[in-house]
Amino acid sequence: MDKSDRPTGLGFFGAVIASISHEIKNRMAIINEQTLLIGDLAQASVTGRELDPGQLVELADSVKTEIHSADQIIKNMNRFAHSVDNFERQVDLGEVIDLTAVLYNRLAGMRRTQLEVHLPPKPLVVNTVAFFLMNLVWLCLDTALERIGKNRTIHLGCEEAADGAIVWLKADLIENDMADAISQKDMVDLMSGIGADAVFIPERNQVRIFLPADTDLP
Amino acid sequence: MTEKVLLVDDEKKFLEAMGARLESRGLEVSTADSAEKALEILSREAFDAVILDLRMPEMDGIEVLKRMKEKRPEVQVILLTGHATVGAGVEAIKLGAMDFIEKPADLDFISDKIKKAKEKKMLIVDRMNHERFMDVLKRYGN
Repeated sequence: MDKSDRPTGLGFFGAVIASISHEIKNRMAIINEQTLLIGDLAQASVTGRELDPGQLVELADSVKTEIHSADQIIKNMNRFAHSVDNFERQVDLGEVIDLTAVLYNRLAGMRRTQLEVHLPPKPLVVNTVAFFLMNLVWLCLDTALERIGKNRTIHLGCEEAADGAIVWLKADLIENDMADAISQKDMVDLMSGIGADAVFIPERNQVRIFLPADTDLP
Repeated sequence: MTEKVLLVDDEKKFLEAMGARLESRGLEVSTADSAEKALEILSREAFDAVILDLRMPEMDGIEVLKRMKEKRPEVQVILLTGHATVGAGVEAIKLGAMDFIEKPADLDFISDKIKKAKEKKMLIVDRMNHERFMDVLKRYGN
C-alpha cells in the first residue's frame, strides 16, 4: 500500500492553516473595498455628488458582517490550533466533527459540494487524539470529494456505539468505492494512532470509523 | 477613450464594491461571479483588461486564464490572489497573464495596470490587423 499525496500530520496542519488564511484574506479584501468605497462616496459628496445614506448604511452593515465572519474564522483557527494541546484527552466527539466540517466547508464549496453535519443531541465523550481524528476525517472528506457523483452532498456525523463511538461519512460516489482509500498507509497509520478501525459499506456508500471506548493510545 | 474592464471573482460583495470604485474613476466595468459567466461574456465582448481571481469554485484561475487566451489572444489578464506565491506567479506569466497582484490591492495600482493593459492590447490588435492586411495583399496582389 503506497502513501498517497494527501496531507497528514504537519502537512495536514499546514493545509488547514493555508485554507483559513485564504478565507481571512477574502474577508479582508471585501472589507477593504467596501470601506474605501465609503470613503470614495464621501469624497464625491464634497465635490457635489449626491450622497445616498441608504447605500452608506448598507455598506457599513456589510463591513460589520464581514468583520464578524472574519472573527469567527479566527475563532475556528484558534480551536484547531488547540487541538494539539494535551494530545491524548477526553473530547466531545460532536465538537471535533463539527470543527472539522467547518474547516473543510470552504474546500467543499470550491467544488460546489455541500457538507451536512449530523451530530448527536448530547455530548459524546471519547478518549482520543483530536488532531489525528480530524486528520483522518479530513482525508475521508478529500477522498469522497474526489469521487462524488451528481448529488453533491457529503453527510458527516457521529453516534454512540455499544462499546465506543462511530464517526461516519456518506456520499453518492461515482467511481470506485472508498475501501481502497481507507486501506492506504496514511489512513491506516492515522487509525492506529487513535486506536480506531474503519470499514466501507458500499451498499450504503458509507465509511464508518469505529473508536473503541477503552482504547490504549500509543 | 475609456478603459473597458471585466472583473471576475466569486465574492459578489467584492465585485460590487471594486466595480463601483472603478466606475467612479471613469472605467467601463462588467462583472462575473463565476468562470463560466466570465467566459460567456468574453465570447460576446472585448475588454482592455480582465481582473481575475486566481481561486474560484470549480475552475481555478490558471485554467480560466488559458481558456480566455484561447477565446481572445489579445486580452490582458491581471490575476488577483490572496497569496502571490512566486511559483504561481511564474506559471501565470508563462501562460500569458500580464500581471499578478495580491489582495487587498490598492486601486490606484490596479487602475495603472489596467491603463498599461489597454496599451499592450492595442499594440497586439494593431499587429494582428497589420498581419491580416498583409495576408489579404498577398492573396489578391497589389
